[in-house]
Amino acid sequence: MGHSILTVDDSSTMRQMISFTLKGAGFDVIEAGDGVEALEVAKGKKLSLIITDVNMPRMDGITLVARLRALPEFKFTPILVLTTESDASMKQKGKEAGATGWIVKPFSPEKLLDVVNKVI
Amino acid sequence: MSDAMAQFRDAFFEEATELADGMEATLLSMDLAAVEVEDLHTLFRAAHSIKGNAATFGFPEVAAFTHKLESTLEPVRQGNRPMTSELREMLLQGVDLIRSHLHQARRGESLSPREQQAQAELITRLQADAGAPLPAPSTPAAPARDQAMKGGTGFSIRFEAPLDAFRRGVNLERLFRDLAKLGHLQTWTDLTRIPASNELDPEDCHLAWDVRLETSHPQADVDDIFEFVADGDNLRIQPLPPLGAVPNLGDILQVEAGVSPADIREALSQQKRLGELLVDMGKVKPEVVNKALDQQTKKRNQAEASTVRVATEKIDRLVNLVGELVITQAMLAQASQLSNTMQGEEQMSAALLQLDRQTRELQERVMGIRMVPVEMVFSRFPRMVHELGKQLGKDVELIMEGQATELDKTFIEMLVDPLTHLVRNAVDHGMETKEERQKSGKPSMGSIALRASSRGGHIHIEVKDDGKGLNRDRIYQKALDRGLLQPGSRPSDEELNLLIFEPGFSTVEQVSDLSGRGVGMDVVRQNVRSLGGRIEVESEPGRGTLIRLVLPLTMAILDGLTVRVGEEIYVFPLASVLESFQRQVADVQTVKGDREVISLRGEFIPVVRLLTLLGLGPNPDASERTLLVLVESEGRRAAMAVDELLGQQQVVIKSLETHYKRVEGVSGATILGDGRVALILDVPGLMRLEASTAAASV
Repeated sequence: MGHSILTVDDSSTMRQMISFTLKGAGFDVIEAGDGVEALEVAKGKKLSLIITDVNMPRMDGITLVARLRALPEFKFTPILVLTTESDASMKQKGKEAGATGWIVKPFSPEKLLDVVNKVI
Repeated sequence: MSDAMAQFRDAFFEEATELADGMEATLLSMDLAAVEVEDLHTLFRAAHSIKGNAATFGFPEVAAFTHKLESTLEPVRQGNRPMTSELREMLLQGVDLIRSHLHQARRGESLSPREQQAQAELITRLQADAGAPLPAPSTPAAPARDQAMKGGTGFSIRFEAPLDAFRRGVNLERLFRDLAKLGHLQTWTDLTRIPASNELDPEDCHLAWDVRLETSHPQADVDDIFEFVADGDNLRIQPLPPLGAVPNLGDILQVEAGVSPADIREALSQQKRLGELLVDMGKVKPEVVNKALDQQTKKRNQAEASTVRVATEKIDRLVNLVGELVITQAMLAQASQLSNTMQGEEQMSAALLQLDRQTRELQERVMGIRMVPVEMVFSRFPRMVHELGKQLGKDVELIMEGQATELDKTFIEMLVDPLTHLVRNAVDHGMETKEERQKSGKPSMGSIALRASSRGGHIHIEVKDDGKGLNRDRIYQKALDRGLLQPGSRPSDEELNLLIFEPGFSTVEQVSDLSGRGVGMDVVRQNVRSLGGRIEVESEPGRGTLIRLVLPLTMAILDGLTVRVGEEIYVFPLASVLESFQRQVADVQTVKGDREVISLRGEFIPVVRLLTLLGLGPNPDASERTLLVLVESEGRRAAMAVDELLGQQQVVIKSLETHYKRVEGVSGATILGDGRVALILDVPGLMRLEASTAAASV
């Protein structure tokens, strides 16, 4: 049974990179451009993992995590946030909102798969 | 711990102590206005080495603390955090704590509660001072990493899952599967943290595990697995004891019988120490136990202090010498068989010559083993002067010279307290305040010089300040008050200066808590005397004071002048002999009935009758003696009447106290070449004895 992963990022290049890497590893990938769109896309889906950027228009990643955790179907779903080393406090904020873990940008495809395999 | 491992541990402690000393020296010599990057790297490397080694040799607490210092230093050396005077003070405290750690670890103990508190406070301050929060350490317990990199045996891990693990979608099962990929895994689930069902929120995670992981992977790999669930103190990773170490009973039971670490901890916490048990049984009072513990600590410290580091080349040379001696012995044996032949006699005298040379060299080199550089005492002073200056609001510069001068190890140990006192005194009393200095036109920065030098068979150690100098009027007045001087007496400057070493003599009206209680200076003199040395004082009002400790090279051997008095042979330490002359040429006068003095270059010097003084001869015993030996000690002179000067020679000092008892005026005994025993005279002691009998006869 294949895993479905939702990747949320306002940068399409980033979304494509993530999507390409994950698909190459055999995952199904859905994309969303910001928090609001992510909530719409996720509705009614069975997801194994959500990967979200933090700084996005309309709804940022931290809010998205909190909103997803409030939904019964995503209460225990692994969620990873994309942070940068320069903003270490974001890891803590993500955790408080309910994120499972984080990936520090910039990251390589291998690193991405490593972290994904850690939480799925 | 096996013997081999224990040896490495000693080496570890020595090296770590040296590294800590190095850190301190670097910190103190640093010019904060223009910090050398290389100094910062040096500090960092020192902390890093201590950390790595501590982890390797199984001292996780030392490693963990040093890691904190290392992470503090990292941004500093990268230029991202300025080296301020506050940071320097904190790092100096850190060095002290490393020393405490090492001290305790050496005795198999942890920091005392007080030290632990100091450590916690320092860590908080180090982090607060950083301004921005430190980047969260990606490795919660990095110290063991180096160990693991060198191929340690694995880790013992205590992991308490975060309460929100489920709500954050953490896959705990995955975590253990990843751990199992690293090596052999044993886990004990600790369910004791789960609350009663009526208080239980089923979405909270109350699970905890004790894990034993045998692996050759570095700790970084383990840290990585726990990356998303480590929350500061909920994860403790410790290296397993190194291979070859004797494991604790608990460790064996854990592996062999599967007893959980939580149970072991619980059992250990119920264990009481012997002292507590005895107190509970009503056998002893707690005070008695505390006293006994103090005594134990003292003994332990003494045992620690009694080692000396010797360069291997010194030992190699000794081994060679012993080899040569064996050859010489064979030569002698052969020569004795050929006795009465020409060849035998030649061989014999050649061998004896060789033996003579070798014995002398052996003696010198064995003595050399005991010699250590004065640096060992001096090294503590930069820090002390720095702290004192800060405390007293004085700018003091410390100049040190001759640190490489070598001294007998026993001396070094006995000099620590006297020198500490002298330096402290110089900063506290000798040095004026900044304002006073400016008023008298001196630079506001005062200077203290510590100098060691080797001067013809003696070692001079000088403590010199450029302060206000001794106040002779006040010393005179005080000496009168204390009855040390008779009213109207006119002591020389030198005699007056030396009065500051009398017991209870302190001229400072206001007692500060640093020095100035009058205890100390007399102890300084006592210690120096017991080493066979003397003290000289030079002082110039407004210019400063110089205190010089004149010490013999070693305690075991003495350059002596052997003399005959009646039937007895005595040895004067050459250091205290000024000259000797015929009685006839000296201007001897009789005073107060039977006492004699000589007038020498305008100075009256008492003639001492040795045998009478030592209670050995009839009274008077001096008048027929033909020679006078002029001796000096602490500015006072005396002429000792003797019959014959036998010569100068080195004598080996044997303690009289250990073989017989303490005798006033005699510092020891020696065995002469012909097998006779000669007493070595203690000149300062004789002077005191003479002074007291003279006073008694008045």
